Amino acid sequence: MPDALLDQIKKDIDSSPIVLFTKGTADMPMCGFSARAIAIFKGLGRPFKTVDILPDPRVRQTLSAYTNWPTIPQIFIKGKFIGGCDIVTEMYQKGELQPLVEAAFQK
Amino acid sequence: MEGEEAHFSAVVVSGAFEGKTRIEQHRMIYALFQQEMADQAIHALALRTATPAEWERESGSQETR
Repeated sequence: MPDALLDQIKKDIDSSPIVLFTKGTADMPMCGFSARAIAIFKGLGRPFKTVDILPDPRVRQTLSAYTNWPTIPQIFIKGKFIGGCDIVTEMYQKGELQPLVEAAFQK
Repeated sequence: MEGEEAHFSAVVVSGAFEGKTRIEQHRMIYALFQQEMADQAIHALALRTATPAEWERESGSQETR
């Protein structure tokens, strides 16, 4: 695993309170699952960052090896891996995601 | 389990999920299909996992089958 790539991924994870690794961008998601995760976070009204994994296939391989998670999107809050599309959807529906997001923006 | 064109969704209820986080629960299922997902035979696998107790609590209020 190229260390420079992993370092960059770790930097990306820490670059914003909420970071989504997605297929495509927030404005143009290229996969329904990424689109759903983006829509949920847009709805929560807090800024979030997306990292498009499509341009460089090594990013996805390195990220998945690092998180031990095979699918995209992957969501991080305050640098902590939260899960994929299904988990954030379930957390959102159960009202668990909103407080986590709010807490991420508390000083 | 249902799906088409290598997109699948599964609801898995198991006592093996007791005491595990959702991330761990989903990893357990992904691990079962590791080869198929690597080969892209399974392109996407939407998961809903629950322990029997959770499932009973939630299905009672949300679904009737």
